[in-house]
Amino acid sequence: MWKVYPSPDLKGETVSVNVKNLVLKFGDATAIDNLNLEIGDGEFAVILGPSGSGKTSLLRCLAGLISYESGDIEINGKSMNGVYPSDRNVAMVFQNYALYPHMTVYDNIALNLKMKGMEKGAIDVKVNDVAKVLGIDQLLKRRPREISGGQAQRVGLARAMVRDPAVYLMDEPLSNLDAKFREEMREELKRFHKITGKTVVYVTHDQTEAMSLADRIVVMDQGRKVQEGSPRTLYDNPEHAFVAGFVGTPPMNIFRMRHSGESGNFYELEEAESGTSFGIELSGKNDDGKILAGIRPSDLALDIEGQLESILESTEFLGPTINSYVRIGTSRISVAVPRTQHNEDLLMNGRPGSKLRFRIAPDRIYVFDESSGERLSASVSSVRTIAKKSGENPME
Amino acid sequence: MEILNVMKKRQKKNRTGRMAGDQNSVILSIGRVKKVAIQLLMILAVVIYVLPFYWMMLKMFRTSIFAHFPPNLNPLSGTSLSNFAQNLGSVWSFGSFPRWYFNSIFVTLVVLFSSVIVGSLAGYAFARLNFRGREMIFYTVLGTLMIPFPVVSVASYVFMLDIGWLSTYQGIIIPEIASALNVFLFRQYFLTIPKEVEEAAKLDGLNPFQIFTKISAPMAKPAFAASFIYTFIGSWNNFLWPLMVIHSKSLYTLPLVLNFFKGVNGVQIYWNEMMTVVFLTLLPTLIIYAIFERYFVEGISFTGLKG
Repeated sequence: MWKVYPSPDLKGETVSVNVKNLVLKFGDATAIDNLNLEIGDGEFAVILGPSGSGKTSLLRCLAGLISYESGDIEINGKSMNGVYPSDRNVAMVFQNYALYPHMTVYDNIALNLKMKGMEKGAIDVKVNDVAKVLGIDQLLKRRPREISGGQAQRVGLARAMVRDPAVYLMDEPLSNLDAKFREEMREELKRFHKITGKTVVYVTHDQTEAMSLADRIVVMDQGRKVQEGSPRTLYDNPEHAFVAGFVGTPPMNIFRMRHSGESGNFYELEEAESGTSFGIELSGKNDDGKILAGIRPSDLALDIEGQLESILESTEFLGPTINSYVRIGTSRISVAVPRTQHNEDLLMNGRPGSKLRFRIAPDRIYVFDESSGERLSASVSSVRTIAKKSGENPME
Repeated sequence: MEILNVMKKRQKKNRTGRMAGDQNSVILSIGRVKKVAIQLLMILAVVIYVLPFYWMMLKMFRTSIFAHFPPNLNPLSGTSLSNFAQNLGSVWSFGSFPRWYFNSIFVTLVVLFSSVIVGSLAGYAFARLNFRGREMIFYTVLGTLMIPFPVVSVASYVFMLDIGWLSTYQGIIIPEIASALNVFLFRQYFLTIPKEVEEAAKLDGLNPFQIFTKISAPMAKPAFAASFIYTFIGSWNNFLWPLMVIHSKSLYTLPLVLNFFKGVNGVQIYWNEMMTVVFLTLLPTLIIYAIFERYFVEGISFTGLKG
């Protein structure tokens, strides 16, 4: 998509961004609750969270657009408290583009340079350079209402790039674009980051976007940082049930389990009232006897000897994988298996309501404390089928 | 068997189809009568609105000082350009007419620009700036819209008397500048502008005042057009306030001059000259309407108000 590689002067200094004990309140509501964050030089950091998690508020704090209760924001080691947005050496790309509708694309991009008092000729060179890089040099004379959403977002990006900021702040820049174009822009943003090497703080609620773009993901919920780490870390080692349920498609299945009352650490599915259920044996103990067990859809495999007996509900064919929804007791579970003849026969040609068995490796089950959501150190040593009603052999 | 059924269904469809068609034609003819009636009513309305203007034009091209009933509406009887020139000449040399005309233009221009500037700045502040008591102050300002002018006129008059502004330009102009309607109109419009655009401007290095002049104000063009039009009409036609504060003839504005031409206590009215003054009073409004016609309609539909 890049028409020309950017001129070398787009490579400038990169800086770190540190957030210390940040507290932000709107009236009585706490939007950000004592947040600490360190984003390194040239890192692509994605703030991931559902709406209302405080992620966009955090970005606005970084940009200096809203003032916070307490705490400190440092960019390149300097405190930004009380520094005017344009003096922070940051640029922002907005979800709704936020272009100036009464100005041409050229003037939209050039405004900052004009405000800095740059010479007309120099502005012209810079604007044209950046426009070429982003492939919008044909649009410079148009007005924002005369261009498409994708083009508008490029203009938004150009407006940020032309300033050569140390930090890019991006507020869900792709969420107003349609699906196909979003993927294309995602690739472009990746290349953009590779070429400029700048620090990027990127806010999104789309975990796919976060996984594909980020060097590091910071998951936020209700104004708090839940976990941070590389996409791989978050996927393989979620430290919190919220992260487990948020990262990965389809999302992880989370089961509520209760201590069975037997001696030892055997927990069984809470909702199951009749039919076949399952239980897990923990290596350690949890005090209140309530846990959440998480199983990734892709960790389940069809196996006639499997420990989980379920009832087929529906199946989606996605090409290389087959996604199915099955039921165990009252829990609805998603399953993602590779496309094989065996899987196709059972899932795609199987009738809804037919019984299927899945195998799960005990070490692939994540265990969380139910009340706090935190990951438990105890691991699962075995998984067993439990027959609730009939006198079937539990071990079968 | 199935074919038969289908055929029956088709026949049924045809029959109902034809019936619907007949009904439609009946409805259509009723509709036509309605249309004609509405058009006749509209023509009548146009006549009612245009007739006074037409009569004004006739009067201004005639020399007769009398108004007869029924009026002679023949456009060719007694009208001539030289008559108009004569009427114009006698009006222009009457009293200090050029000065009065200047007064009207001067007062209106000053009120117009000051009121729009003050209104837009205040509206912007109420829409965008955070300060203590903002909502309370705004609703107080808005509340003044509910108070009819006669209620405050006496107090305003006494105030002008106290500070010695009676029969002065500032006495006519200053009280007219603060317009709650303008403040309200601008506030509402600025609220519709996405905040992000102004935030982008902040990041681009504009200070709050520059954001207003370079970004928000240009984006609020429709609000400016509407406010210009209303303020112009209001100030140009303003009668009551100038009548109260102006005691010296040299400061008269056109509505007062018109009142003057109307004659006092049974003195003969010179209809031809009065209609010429009416025309001269209307002229700027007509010119502005011709230029800004598009905005008139937009302004009215934007505010949902009548000028």
